[in-house]
Amino acid sequence: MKRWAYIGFTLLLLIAFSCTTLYAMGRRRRKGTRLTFWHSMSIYQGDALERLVTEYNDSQDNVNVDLVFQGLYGEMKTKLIQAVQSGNEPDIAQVAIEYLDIYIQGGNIEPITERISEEDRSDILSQFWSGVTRGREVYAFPFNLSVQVLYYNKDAFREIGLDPDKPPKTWDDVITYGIQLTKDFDNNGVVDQWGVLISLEGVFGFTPLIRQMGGEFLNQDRTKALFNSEAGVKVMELVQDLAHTHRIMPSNWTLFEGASAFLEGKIVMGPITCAGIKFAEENLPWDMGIAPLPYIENKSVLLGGAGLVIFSRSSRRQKAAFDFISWLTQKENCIRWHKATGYLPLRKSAIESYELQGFHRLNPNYRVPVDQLPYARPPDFTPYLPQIDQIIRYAIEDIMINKKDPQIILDLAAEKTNEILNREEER
Amino acid sequence: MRGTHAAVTLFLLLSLLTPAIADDAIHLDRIDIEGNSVTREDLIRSLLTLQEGQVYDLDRVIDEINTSRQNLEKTGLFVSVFFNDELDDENNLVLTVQVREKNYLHFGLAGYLGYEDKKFYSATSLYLDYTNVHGNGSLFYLEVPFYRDYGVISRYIGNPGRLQYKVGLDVRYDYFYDQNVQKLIAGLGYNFSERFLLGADIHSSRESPRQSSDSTLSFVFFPYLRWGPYRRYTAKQKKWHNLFLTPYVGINVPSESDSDNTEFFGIDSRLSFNWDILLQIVYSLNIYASYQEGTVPNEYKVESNIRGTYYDAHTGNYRLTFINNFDFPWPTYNRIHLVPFIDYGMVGDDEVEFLLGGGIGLHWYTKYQDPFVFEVAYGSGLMINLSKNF
Repeated sequence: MKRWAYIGFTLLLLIAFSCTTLYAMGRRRRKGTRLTFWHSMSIYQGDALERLVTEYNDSQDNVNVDLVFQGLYGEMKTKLIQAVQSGNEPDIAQVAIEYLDIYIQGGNIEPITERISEEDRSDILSQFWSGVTRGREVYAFPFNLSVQVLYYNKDAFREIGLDPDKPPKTWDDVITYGIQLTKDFDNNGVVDQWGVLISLEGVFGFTPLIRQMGGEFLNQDRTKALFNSEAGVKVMELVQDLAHTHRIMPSNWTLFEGASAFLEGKIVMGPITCAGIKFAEENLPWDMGIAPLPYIENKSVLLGGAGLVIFSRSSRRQKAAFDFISWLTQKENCIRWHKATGYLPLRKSAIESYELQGFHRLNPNYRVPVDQLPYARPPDFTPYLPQIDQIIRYAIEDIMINKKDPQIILDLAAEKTNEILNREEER
Repeated sequence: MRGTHAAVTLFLLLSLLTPAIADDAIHLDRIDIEGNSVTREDLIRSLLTLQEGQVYDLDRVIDEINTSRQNLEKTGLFVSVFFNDELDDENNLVLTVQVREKNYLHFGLAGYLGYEDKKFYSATSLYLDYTNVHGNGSLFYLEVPFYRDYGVISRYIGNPGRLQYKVGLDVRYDYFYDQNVQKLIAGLGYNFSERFLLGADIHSSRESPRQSSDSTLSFVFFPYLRWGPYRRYTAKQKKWHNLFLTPYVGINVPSESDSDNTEFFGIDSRLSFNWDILLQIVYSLNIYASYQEGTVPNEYKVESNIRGTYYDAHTGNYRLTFINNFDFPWPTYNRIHLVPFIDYGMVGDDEVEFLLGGGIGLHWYTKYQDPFVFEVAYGSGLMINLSKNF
């Protein structure tokens, strides 16, 4: 009797597992057009995207979208270039707006301008269209777009008697606050808590600060570097001062080191993409505040992120892909995506909706990046931005770590940049 | 003359103020409900704090939408709630409440299989729970035990708003104590707030040894209170704790006329602490403390709850146990959680046994189960545990 009971228990256990797995697999088997969608959303952003795609697949029988994670934007770029060369490109790919020019110049994608309805054109904010438009043509549908905001540790503010609801507004305020917040708790000569960390990730960290200083990164024709102007030098002097004069910022930390330190509460303030708000709110062990990016002379933030690009060649697949993209970016899904990640809501109708206004009332951190939209601009696009980005990274390293003269280093970087821009122009 | 000045001033003030008031006024013409295939529309409407036909200002509409959403989310019946606003041709507001309902029917296998003191033991059952019966948020639960016990266990928990009521019927044969058990349960509870529930259950049970015509009828009164949030409503909440306390008192009435009635009493408590430490890693500590006295029927005996030990083999009048769980979401696939645990405590009466058990659990948050729990524990023996969480 007992033996049969144990055999029965084991069998039922196996059946319970098998039924759940088979049922889940069965639901994935579908008919209709199958589209492959390569994306770069990791962990919780990926989960949010998967939920939306699953819902789309469940909502109709004509199109089934297979979501494939292809690494972050850099890795995605390498894989996409290989894929278009070998003719194995996906139907849809999430392409960082700064890499879009690579595929336009390579003739790998076609404009989607004519597919865009008047309603979408007017409802989606012009800043977002500017990120995916080259000349008069639109090459991608805006999707996950973000700006930088200032994350700060409210607990650290409270500990030294600063009002946690009054974050710094300007970079001068950041210096004042940072001096008070940088601490060597055990007096061993090693800083335990840094006031601020600016991750000057090449072009993307540098550009908004130059614009805030009244300068530009490249000229309008994209034939000349302007970042070695007085504005660019002043920005570099500012960050040098943060690290070496005021000693409120570590000078040689990698992005990974910075992120880990921030997580552990060893950095009090730092500009980070708004796409991390959801993650930070749910995972940081300290009370987090979000404030607008501090400004120097002008308010300016860089619009970053990605658009959805259709790589399909057949018109039937292009239409199916566009239908899916339209669904994914409709008002309700814009709001859900914003709530689930922190990425900006694309549509005026979403921003004005009572649903989102209600959400922002309960979650004011999410409202901050939306308020920055009036002064958000994408980077100065050129197909050679990845190469220029590398040049800028080396230059920043020389200025920050080796304490070299900003003017000399930026002039050298500008010379190399101009060579690339003009050499490519001649071609 | 002075009167004319006053009238003109009043008129000017009114003409300045009136457009401002009119601009801000929102006439809510209609509320539509969408997406409810199981839940009754009147249940959803009863949880909305906005009224059709009323005039609101923008601030108030947004506040009421937030309150209504929270009311709906707290029922636990919906995956998501969305308020869509549109204006009709006459500029009146039409709100559409779009709900996505959860899966309501769960069924599966639950129980444990263990090996201790060179003996196998087991308690297994098939269960089915159906949430939102009649579309009003009620719960029906049916369990068919088929190893340690054989029979049927059923519960119905009605949840109309703040008032909860419960009825239950158990008919089973208890293999361990070799007795038949029939039990009737009736209960009533009231949610004074999200954090405070007060209620009482009455059990009437009959235990009769299989080889005997004797039986004992027991009546038990269980008042209870819960203090603290029942569950975590948002991942932004980093700490959530609650206390559950139920003293009880009972009387046993034997069937033989020459035997006297006996009494028993006791108290069960559970204090639960939960901390989201970092990156959604949650540490939970549950402290159970129980005490009982008198002629306690087998049905209500305090037994061990240390995973990895044979529960029925470790009983007594006292129990104090500490159940520690560490919940690690799998970094790349957060529907799977790894949950190592360590349990320790004591149970006994004149002689108290100290027990220790630990192991690892796999919690799988499928679309159909919330979650599916599989555990392997080692304590006084080895145990494989399948749990149902709902």
